[in-house]
Amino acid sequence: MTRSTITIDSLKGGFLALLFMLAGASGVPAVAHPHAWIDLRSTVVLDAQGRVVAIEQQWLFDVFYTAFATKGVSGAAGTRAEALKALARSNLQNLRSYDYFTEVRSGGAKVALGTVSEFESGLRKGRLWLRFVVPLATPVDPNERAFAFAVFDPTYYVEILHLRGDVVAFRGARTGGCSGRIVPPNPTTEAVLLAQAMDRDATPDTTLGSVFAERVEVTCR
Amino acid sequence: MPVARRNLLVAAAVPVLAAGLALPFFALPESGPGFWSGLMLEIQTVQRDLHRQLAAAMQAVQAEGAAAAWALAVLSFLYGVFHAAGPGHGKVVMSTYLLTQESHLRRGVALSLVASLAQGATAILIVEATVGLLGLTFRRADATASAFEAASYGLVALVGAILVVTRARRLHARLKQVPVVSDHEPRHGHDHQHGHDEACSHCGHAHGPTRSDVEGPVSVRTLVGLILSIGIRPCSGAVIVLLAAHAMGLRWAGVGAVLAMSLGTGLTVSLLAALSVYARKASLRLAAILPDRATRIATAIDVVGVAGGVVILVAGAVLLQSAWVTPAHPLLR
Repeated sequence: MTRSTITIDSLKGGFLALLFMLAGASGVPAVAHPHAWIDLRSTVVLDAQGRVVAIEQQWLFDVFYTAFATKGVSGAAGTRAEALKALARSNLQNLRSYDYFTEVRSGGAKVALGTVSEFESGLRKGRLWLRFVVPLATPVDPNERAFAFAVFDPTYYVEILHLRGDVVAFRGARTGGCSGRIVPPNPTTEAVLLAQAMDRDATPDTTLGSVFAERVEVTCR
Repeated sequence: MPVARRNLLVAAAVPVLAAGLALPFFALPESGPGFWSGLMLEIQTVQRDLHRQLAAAMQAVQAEGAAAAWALAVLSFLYGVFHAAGPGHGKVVMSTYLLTQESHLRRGVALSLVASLAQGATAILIVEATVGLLGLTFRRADATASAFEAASYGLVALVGAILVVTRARRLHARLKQVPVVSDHEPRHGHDHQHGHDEACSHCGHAHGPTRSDVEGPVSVRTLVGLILSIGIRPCSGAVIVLLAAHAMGLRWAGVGAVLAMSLGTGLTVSLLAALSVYARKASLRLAAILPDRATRIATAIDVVGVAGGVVILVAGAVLLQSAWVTPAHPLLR
């Protein structure tokens, strides 16, 4: 009867496995991994009271995206700068409804963001860069509640990370005691599962990016 | 143990084993804590580094000409290998198909290779047609690629539906033909051609399902549908590389890079295909060891076939729906 015992065991485990397989296949992410890469540099902007008022970012796009996006951008320096500015404006306009891929949290709660008005763009060694300032709707004191932010593409089509060894900069009147800790993504299997489960109702894989996101924890003394 | 119960167990063992063995191919969520996601992160790091090197190689070709082309080809190939190692709909469709329908190793591997190469060819054709011939903008080219993507999902669902119908029909016919009444009744009413390997099927305790039971009703139509459903979806990474190559004035380098990439993806997907076919064979062999008669195993195989078709159908429908509702990426608009 050993054979039967083995069968019963594999039956139990296997049945669960079959269920998982069906569940997994129905949640297949449409775009499951990044196709473009951005090197991120970030600066936390503080006001005179030491409150965070904005997150300034610089996105350095990869060579292929650059070639894709800047096709036709050539000619004299003046017209080139104009074309790059137009590209940056249109990209930022499109990114507005995605909060510029920026998520700011104070004490765990999401902080509302404003509209970018300050930006510039250019080319460096064949790579497009875009610098812009994302204002917080209302200033937030990092001393009162734990302050953190993350920059990620929720669909995970683009991977946005700080370069290894990069540090978060601070700008403003009282930045002396401030530091930012870059926490690398740590996607547990549970988190990925949860992300897919949440996706079931909404559009697929809109939370996958957050699972693979890098987070910055800001502390000021 | 009562005979009926034993038979039930055996009938259930086949899909169950197949499912258990299938798990590794369904990527992320279904296994031990952190292992798969850790592996995913590792693959993504390698992919990111390769992508950087690929970009540098492309720039080198632009600066130095053909001399740097080899590096580009090798890097493209490797990029393809790792790009395909992540989860993706092509692999889900392919491994589900192979696990639940296909028992020929060579055909399985060939299917995967052809589908991968077709993906590369589609990307090249779309970019050449839209940008090269029609002179459309890059954004229009990318939108065209997205339309093909949606069509591919539709085809996936169609292939799933065809599999469900053909398998279910056969299952229905089998159940009508061989009433499942007594365990000792000799097998009859089986009008398939019998090979040497099952000469014993008349003595009442055949050791396994017949070859045609295992193979399933594979038609050329299904195979072509399968290849098309995967192959007409251009990899969006390939489209970007091609467009970038166009912009850099390296049209042919782009085509070469994408072909090398497809070979790389083909290699990875073929490995998965081989594993899927082996997993299927192993579970069939296990099922054959168990004390039972071929008819029930054959029935179970058909049940697995229907289930596989349903998985593919659902995957296609979900992907199609998501392609429908998901707006274009903000940075590609």
